[in-house]
Amino acid sequence: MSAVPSLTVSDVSRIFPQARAKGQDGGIVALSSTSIEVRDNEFLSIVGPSGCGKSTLLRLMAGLDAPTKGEICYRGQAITKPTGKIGLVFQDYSLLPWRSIQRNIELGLEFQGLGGREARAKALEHLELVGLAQFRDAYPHELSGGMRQRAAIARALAVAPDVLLMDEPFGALDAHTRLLMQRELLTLWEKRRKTVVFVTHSIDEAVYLSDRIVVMEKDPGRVIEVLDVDLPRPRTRKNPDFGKLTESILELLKY
Amino acid sequence: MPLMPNRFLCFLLPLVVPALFLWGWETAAVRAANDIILPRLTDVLAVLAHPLTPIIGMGSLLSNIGISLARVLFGYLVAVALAVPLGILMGYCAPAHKLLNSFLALFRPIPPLAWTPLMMAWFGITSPASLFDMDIGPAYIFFNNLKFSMAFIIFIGGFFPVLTSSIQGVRSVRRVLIESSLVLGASRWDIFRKVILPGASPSILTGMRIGLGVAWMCLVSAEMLPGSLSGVGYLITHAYTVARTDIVITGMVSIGVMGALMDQAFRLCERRMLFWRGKS
Repeated sequence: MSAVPSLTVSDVSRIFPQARAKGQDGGIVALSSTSIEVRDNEFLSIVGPSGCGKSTLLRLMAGLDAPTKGEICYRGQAITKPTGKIGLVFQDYSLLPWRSIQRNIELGLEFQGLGGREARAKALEHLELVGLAQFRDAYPHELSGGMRQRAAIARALAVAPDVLLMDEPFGALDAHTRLLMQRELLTLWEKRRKTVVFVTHSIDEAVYLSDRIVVMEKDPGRVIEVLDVDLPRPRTRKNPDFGKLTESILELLKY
Repeated sequence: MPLMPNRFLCFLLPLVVPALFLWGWETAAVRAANDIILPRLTDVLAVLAHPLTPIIGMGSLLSNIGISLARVLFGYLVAVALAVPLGILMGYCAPAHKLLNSFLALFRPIPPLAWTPLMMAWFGITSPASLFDMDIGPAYIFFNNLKFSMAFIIFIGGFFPVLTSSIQGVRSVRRVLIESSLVLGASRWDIFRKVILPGASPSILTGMRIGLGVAWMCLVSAEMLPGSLSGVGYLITHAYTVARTDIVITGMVSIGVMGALMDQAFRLCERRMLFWRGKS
């Protein structure tokens, strides 16, 4: 793995102005002086309790929000608005309900100026990649939560981003589907190596998937530790080190 | 699941109240024995059964319905053509909303009927036919029936429901749909065309359906204006002056049935186009 930074988060704070709390100036500090380097092609997870700013950080990386202080750079360039180069997969319900799965995957290609047959072929290729080819004409509401998330991942990958941000993508799935999806995501990642930043509240999920784990705490949201996961892949939860690492993260979070 | 014993009863149940109503009407009419107060059911059915026969010197029932329909569509289509783009603009662009909303809110509570005197003062009995100085002929007669004053009353009725639901429709488009499109590289125009417009369409269509209903309800007041010599609304008022209550009721039934039919047609379109509505 190369050590070239893909995304650089330097001393970033995000403070949401609060209109109602009078006398308390400054507002809510969602993210406080955070610095992270995301390496090229690594699988980085961010874990922490609700309100630790992990989703805020991801939105900043996607360019959907701007930091109050500090700067986030992608290959040396400050991120100011969304570009097709950094993809984002949401928790759920991000597919357009009036478009079939195939047409949903074509959406990003259309935005990039690709149309007609070329877009269709590329969309189909990505449907096959996530195993949804036979459901291409189905609509999102006709699919299970797991299938919808696979479609959302396919849609994000179809525009060939360099970085894939994932905001609790399996958070709305049942435990069983979740485990299957984790394994599938890793298979995909092996096939199409790219930088992944994966936000989750499941420590188990983070340990299973990641090269490195950023542990955050809340009030104010900030990074308390960045851990390397030195477990051989494919990983198994039977490995005692798996449990030890999980335990040490729980301890960091004071559970 | 509500309790429903069997299919036969399911079919019968909705017919019970109408049947009782008609029976009560007929009994009361026979007892009253006064055509002006309450004509018999059969008298009304007789008029309805011959929609092509001229009545009280006003032409046939069907031709009057046709003229009413043309008037409503005239006013309503203008209302839709203005309210939909304006509503979308106000929903999408906050300054436009700030600029116009409080102004339009002043007009919203004014009942369409209250516009009548002003409309008469402005438009009198002008119509597209008189405005464009058309030659006398069938086209002149048709267009001369579409008085501007009437169209305006109907326009006001249809405008606000469509406007409100268009604004609401644009605002109801979920943020995650917009943001996930932005991340895929969408431009503002892409977002508007491929996310906002289709996302707002259910609400806009519902507003158009409600607007058509209100426009149709404004028909009678519009057709009571001077210069009107035809239409179901006028038929009702004219039948009243010549004491033909059976025709008054026939007119009312026609308005009810036409309104219900248009509403159903709209609902059918909605279901077809918006099969995804209410689903993730």
